Amino acid sequence: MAAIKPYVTCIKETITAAMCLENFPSQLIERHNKPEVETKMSKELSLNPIIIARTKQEKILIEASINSVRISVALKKIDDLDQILSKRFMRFLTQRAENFLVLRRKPIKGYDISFLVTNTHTESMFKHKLIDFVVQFMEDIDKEISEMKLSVNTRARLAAQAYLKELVS
Amino acid sequence: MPHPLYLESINRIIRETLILKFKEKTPENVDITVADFNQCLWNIFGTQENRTLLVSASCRCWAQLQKWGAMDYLRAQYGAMIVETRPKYDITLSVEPPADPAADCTALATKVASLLRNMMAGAFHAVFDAVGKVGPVRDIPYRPMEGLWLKPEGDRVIAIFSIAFDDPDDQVIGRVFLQEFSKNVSGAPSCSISVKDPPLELQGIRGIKADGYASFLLEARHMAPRVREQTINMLLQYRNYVHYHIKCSKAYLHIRMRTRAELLLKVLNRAKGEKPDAPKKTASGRTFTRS
Repeated sequence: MAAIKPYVTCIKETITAAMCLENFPSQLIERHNKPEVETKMSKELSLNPIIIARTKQEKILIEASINSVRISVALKKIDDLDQILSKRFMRFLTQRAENFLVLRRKPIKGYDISFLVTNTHTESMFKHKLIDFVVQFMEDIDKEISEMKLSVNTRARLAAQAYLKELVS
Repeated sequence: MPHPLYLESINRIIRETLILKFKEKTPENVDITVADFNQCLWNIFGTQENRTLLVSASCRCWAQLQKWGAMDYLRAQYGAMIVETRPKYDITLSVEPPADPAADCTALATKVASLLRNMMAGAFHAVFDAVGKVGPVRDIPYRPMEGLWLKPEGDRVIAIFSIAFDDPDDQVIGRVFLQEFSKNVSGAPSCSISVKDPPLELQGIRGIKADGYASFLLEARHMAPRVREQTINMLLQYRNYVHYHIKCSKAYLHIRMRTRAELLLKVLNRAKGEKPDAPKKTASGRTFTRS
């Protein structure tokens, strides 16, 4: 995925544009201050969602609002093994969502993992570094899953070869 | 990265316990029950009266093993050591420790610890010896959900394993592992893997349900006396070998995921930036605190 610069650049530019967040307490409920993209209470506070798709399967959904941005990623899955590896890996990461701050515990339906960035995050963290984190996260996951797949295949091959070699006569 | 682990066919616990007992000067009471692969049980029983130990073993498929002639091999191996079976076990050996406790007794201990292996191997030996004669498919249900069949075919024998995986994720990884076995190594028995349906060799046998099947075609040279024991050893441990390596794979994946998560956290921490309560200074040195 890192080789496809246009995809990454497009994502980066879009997220940079979408991540203009300010504090905005709820208009309808007194003393509530919730991410607007999650509660969707007022139509005028949310922007049109954008999907940036590389293939039919690989895409990113960016939903922005006045005080929060939700970024959902659908990963490339060619076969069964990819599917279970990405499922396990995403479950592993979302279980640690507290540590990751901007990670959502449950991905949006149709996607594999989701981020939720609110105005509190942009106030306490550098915005460009935050965007770098999201982009690097996506690249790393792709790389990791393909490396995990390779390791499973290699191990299978070596185990089978070693076993059969012992039966050579 | 991987180290091929040849799971031993002998039971180490039994062997080490026997060696310990052999070295004892005065006998003590002992009644140890040990579990083994494939839901098998061992028992070592001894009293203070004499140094003779009773070693018993039981496995799930003893009835079938007896039917397929395993006792012949066992009698050849243990002869007079076989005594009346203790209740709840399938076979019992009476083991006399060597008269001198200081003598090297590893050979005897190893032989006794191979009892379970020899029970299963007995059926293999019987089939190998009967090569050339037409015979039925020997079914050996050595595990609750998985089975082993030995089918004589002309001057060859086909050993068929059915493998089941509990976890749906395991099924996917298991399939990858099983497919690798179908790649031939010259000199080794050719192995064919079937993932959905039972292979043709098992046609006619009902009630089979598993996630994968492995059929090993054993030729005369694999059953030759020189290599026969090695062949049997490896075949007996096939299913456990596959499952062991799958588990190792999963553990390794877990380590990778953990490392990757830590790396990503480090990147995130870079975004956190400086501490907000560091005192800020003006050019002339005056400090002020942000309210």
